[in-house]
Amino acid sequence: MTDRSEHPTDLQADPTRRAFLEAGALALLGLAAPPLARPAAAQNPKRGGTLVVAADVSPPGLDPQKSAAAHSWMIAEHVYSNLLRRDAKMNIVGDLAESWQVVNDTTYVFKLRKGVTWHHGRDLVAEDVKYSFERMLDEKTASPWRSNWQIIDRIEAQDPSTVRFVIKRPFAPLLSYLATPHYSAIVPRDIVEKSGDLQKDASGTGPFMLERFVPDNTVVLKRNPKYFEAGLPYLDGLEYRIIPDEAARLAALRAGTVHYLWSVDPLIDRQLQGAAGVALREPDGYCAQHGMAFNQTKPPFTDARVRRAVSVGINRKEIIASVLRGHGAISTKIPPCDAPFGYSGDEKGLPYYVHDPAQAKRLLGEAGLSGGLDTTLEVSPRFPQTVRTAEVMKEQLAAAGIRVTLKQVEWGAALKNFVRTEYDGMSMIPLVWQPDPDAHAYDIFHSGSNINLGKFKDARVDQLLEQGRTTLDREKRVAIYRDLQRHMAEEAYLVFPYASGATEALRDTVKGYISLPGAQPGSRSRQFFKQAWLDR
Amino acid sequence: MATYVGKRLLLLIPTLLGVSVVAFLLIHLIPGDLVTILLGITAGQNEQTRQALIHALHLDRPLAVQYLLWLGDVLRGDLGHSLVSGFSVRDELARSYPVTLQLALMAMAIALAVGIPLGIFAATRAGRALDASTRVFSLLFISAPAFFIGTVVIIAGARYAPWLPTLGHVSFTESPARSLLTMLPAAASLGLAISAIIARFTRSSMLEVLGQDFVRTARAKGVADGVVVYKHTLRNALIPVVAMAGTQFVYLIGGAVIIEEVFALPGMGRLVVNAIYQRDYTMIQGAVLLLTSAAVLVNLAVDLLYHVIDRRILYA
Repeated sequence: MTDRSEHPTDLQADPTRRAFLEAGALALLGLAAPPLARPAAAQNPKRGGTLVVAADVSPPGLDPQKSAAAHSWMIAEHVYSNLLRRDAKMNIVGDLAESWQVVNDTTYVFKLRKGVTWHHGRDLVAEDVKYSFERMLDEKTASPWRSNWQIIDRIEAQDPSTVRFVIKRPFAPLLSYLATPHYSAIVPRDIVEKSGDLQKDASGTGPFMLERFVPDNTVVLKRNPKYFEAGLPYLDGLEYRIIPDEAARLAALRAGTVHYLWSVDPLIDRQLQGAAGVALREPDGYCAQHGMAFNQTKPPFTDARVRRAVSVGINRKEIIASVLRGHGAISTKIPPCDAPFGYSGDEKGLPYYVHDPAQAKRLLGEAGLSGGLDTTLEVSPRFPQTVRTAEVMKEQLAAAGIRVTLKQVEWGAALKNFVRTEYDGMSMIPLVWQPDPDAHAYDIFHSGSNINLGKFKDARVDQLLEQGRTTLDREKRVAIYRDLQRHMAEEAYLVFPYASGATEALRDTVKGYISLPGAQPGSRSRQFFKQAWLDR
Repeated sequence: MATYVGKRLLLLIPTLLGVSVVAFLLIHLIPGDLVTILLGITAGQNEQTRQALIHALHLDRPLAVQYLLWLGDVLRGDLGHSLVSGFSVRDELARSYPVTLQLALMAMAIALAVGIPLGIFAATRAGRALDASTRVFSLLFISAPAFFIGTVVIIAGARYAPWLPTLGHVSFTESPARSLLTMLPAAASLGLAISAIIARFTRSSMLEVLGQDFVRTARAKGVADGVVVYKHTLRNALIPVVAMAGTQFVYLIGGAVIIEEVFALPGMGRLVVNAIYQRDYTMIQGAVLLLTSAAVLVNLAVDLLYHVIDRRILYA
């Protein structure tokens, strides 16, 4: 079996290469690719069986264009397809698009695969692609992704299998946004019009079809026999059981009634070590960061020296070793799993990252706070890891003369305060993976954005963010975001104590599974369930 | 009696109105807002997106207008749609309430079936070994919270009897037998905790009645011991027990949040707690109406039950 998904063609992966790939040529490339080197080379995938996933939270609806909840996308990513997607190495490859051409900086033409059908039977046509983006742009849809697509000037369905995007100005993140499941799922107009939205009803072109959705209880997906990647998926179905209690999820995995769970707390994965029939997967990469913002609308954090004192006052290595039991890495807002855009070195490579309480005291002294500083740190008990991180930081900062009072705030309030800078001193929340360095940084740093965490204004940051958004050359973009991260660390506008990953736990009968960085729960994407199989 | 029931039911209307106003104001008083929670801190959160969403959800209207809009819908028999998922509130309540009701009824049945006999045994054998062991049982289940017992049941079940269905939910209409079986561990965890309280209550209430004059008279007349205990004493001792069980039941039909979480039951408790976390105003309002009505009706039923137990209690 030839599995094209495993073989990115460099031509496709490179958005700057302006080669128009004819359908035939691409098919040839796919067929000519060497056979896939599977990790368990001796075993051939077996068809059949239902993989049962223990999910912690029930999806608040399934419509990928209406819901901004990761637990909605964990289902939608299996039901819908996009024009593009990411392969196992995070290269951008075609999904519904067989090929694409970058005509000029603002015009992209996509050729659709032939013979793709919706789960409800009808053929996929270019009009569906056009409709999907226009639905998100329609104010009445109230889509959380509307602002992402306002860059679109117009979309034209040139013929049933050709769709042309014209954008208002060069936009570097376009292809990576198109390859991000929740931003750009292609949805069917007829089903949206019949059901009003796709919150309970679903029909896509993806590997699995929705069979049953009982909120707070279960989501059952079954195999799409007409999925366009021949032979996939191997499983007959996927079932998501909603089990809110962590101890209960672990017990279900032990008992073998579920096959897979994620986000095992780094402090309790020890419970599962050595459990019969259970395989633990250490995080493949560190994609989920914690971010601590300073209220910079008033002193003392308007002074860079005070912010730097906090940055050198915390011991990132110690936090990673204690709170994460080693499963973490030094991070900026763009995490190491997104290297080369993300920072992936140790703490010595960034200014004010090395722990130095004496320097912290000196910086405070220079800022006129030689007697030390009293401040607050807001966190939400919804995320115990955040609270534990804050507790360790409090101890470390005390040694640097910064006396922190922890304030535990209910999540809804904590999030609002964080986003709007309505806390007193500092506030920390977990942040999630984003599909592009621009998505990571623009809205939360740009002084013109209404989010602008901490409310700082820096012309250099704004300039780098604009450049990063409009520079299409990859090497130049990497350099721009390197500059941005270094500058952000220099000014200590926010403090990022670490990036962490989710430990995943599986029954050892689950084979062929790989997870990708993603924005789904645990900052992973599990699209590759389509090539997982059960060794029964 | 009919007039009494009618009056009590009429009282339901102002009660519901009052509770819905208070709930509406309280939920809007909690810091944090629906739109921020809906959008999260994602790249999608810019001011235009926010405003579009606020407008689409009518959150730009004054509070009083929002309340009256909702009330108008309710009077037309429409509880509206969830602000978070867009699901029909009525459908969501109809889906989750039977789960909670089934759990409450099963837990109560277990509590009464275990608690009352234990209480009687303990009272009639006061001071002896059986009384002492009942006391140990009661103390154990009163002091160990139900969720702890539940977690122990689940973990032990997974380890020693993995074939037992301890998690998940099968609806009663789908398969009554499997539904009762899968809910049994959850119901038992809740029910045993309440049975412990009922046993203590029954014991002390029985002891009090057993010491009264009419019991001595009955025994003096030569009435058989069993008849004294079950006919003369129990009937009189049950009134406070029923009152207490009624309160427990009202608590249960509000949704046992933690037990529903531990056993992954899609009931009312989880629905309400999630709605509060997400500031899903319409869902909370709908749930409050339903729960208030249920609480009022159960209280009425308990009051009527007094008459069944003791015919001397009449309602004017």
